[in-house]
Amino acid sequence: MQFITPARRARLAWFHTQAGIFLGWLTFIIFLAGTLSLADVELTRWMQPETAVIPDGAVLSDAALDRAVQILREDEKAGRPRSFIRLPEPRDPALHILHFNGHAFTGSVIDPRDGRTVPARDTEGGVFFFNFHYTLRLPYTIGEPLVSFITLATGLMILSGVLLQIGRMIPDYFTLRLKASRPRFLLDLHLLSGTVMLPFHIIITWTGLVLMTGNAFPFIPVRLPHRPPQVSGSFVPAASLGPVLREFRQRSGNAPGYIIFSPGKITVYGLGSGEISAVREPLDFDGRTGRLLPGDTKPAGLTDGITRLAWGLHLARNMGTVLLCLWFTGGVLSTVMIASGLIYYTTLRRRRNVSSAPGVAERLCPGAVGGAVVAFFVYLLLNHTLPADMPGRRGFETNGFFLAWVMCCLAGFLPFARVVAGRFVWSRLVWQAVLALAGITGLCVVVSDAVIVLGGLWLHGVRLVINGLCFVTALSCLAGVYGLRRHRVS
Amino acid sequence: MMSVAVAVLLPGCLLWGCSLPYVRDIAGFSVKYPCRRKKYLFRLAGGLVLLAALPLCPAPSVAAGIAMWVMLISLVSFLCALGLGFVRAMR
Repeated sequence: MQFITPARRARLAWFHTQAGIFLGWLTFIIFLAGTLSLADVELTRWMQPETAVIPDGAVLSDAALDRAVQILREDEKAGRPRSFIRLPEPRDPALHILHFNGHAFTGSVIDPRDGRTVPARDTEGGVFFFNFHYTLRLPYTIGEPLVSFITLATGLMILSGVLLQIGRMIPDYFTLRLKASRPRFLLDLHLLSGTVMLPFHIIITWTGLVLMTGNAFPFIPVRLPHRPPQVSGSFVPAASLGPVLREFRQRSGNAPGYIIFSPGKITVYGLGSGEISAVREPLDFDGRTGRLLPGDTKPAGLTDGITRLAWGLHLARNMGTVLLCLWFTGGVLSTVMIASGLIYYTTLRRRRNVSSAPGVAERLCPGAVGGAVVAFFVYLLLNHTLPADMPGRRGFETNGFFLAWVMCCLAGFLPFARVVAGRFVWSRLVWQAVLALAGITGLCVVVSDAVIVLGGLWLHGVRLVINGLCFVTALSCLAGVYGLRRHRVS
Repeated sequence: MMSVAVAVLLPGCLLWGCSLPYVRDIAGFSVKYPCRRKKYLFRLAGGLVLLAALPLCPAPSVAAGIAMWVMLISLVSFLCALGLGFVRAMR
């Protein structure tokens, strides 16, 4: 007996298309932001060129830790929000004192060698994408449930896509017809990126749901791995942090990653290297004496273990460089899958309804998909072109991101494009404009970095990789402008 | 070690792909197989080569190794499809 009957297939296709067209735009931006947030540390380093003076592998000194505690004390006296310390790690050699500003973790940057404060420009850096990924920059009470709902819908879309394609999944595994008509090429790309990356799509979507369990399934009780109770009092430790970190290394065998403070207590979290699990057991120290406090010796249960594995697979914090790069590539291909699906739908609709006026989805597509790339480049460009000491520059950067994206989305609704160019050429014209803008902005980003960071520092690994990726993306966009001119429409 | 794993995965993916009509078409073979046994033989051989790459993935833990293996297969498959697409477009 055949499971996928024609009637079921039609229902599945209807669900896949309708859910895709209503939620695909947000799914696209969630995946894009999630992919970029995998490189949040590197993006923040790129966006704070002043920190390039700190060499990789700089040794953390006790003087730097003392200076960090002094800053914490000053912040507490001034009534500023509570901060924590992010210690130097292989991905970022600087010492950070961070606090949550409502959207992202920002704060002072300290040279770990001598404790000197680095005058780094005020920016949210790559953390902007991390927050945007799971709240869409909306208030938490709205953003998190919305993203949870979209994640659940994405899981169902993947399932319906697999069931729709299951018969042709293996025979079409390598099929990519580059010279075919545009809808055929887009469908091939959608199916290919969906099929080859299917394990990644499933992992990311379902681990995302585990992370958002409280919002996605409110009836399931959630127990977070570690959340210290809220107590009042001074959180700045009297004990010196140097010996505390040395004891942490000795006891746990791991490098310390974060130090979190609560009244009378110092909690040190370790860094895992090449491990999937996200949450490592922290060690607690007395805030006055620096002595190790007795911890919870109860071993983690199966549920905790699965939750930590799911967190680790989604957050990709401890995986190591190779796996992180593979995760990033997987994220890019997932984004390509969603974008190709959206563009395929609108292109197919245009072919079927040649005489009708372009619909909202068709008008929105170039701006929503291509405009996201423009907005990302604008965000980077504003970071480098606004004066480093400009007050409120962080807000200008994030507002610039959204403004650029909204402007690109509105481009599809401009009446003159349709009148001047005719219906078939209309969407191609908007696409070409958006891609040209993305290409030019991307090239400006690379040039601006070369102008700002003079000397050998420009050739530093992180800067070189990010500039290289920006350059390749910009050239791809410009090649897309040329390719659209030559591509057959039907 | 990473490059060795990729070097093993690449022929594995291509060998597995030889059982698929699109790849056979590009390679200039008949798209139809004379017998199903040959098709499954290609799939088995490709699958075994892919499996052989699993212990070559340089990861400190078993879970990380499996994750790396799965991601490498996905990525190499995508690159193979892209390469075959270009070969077909050039012809």
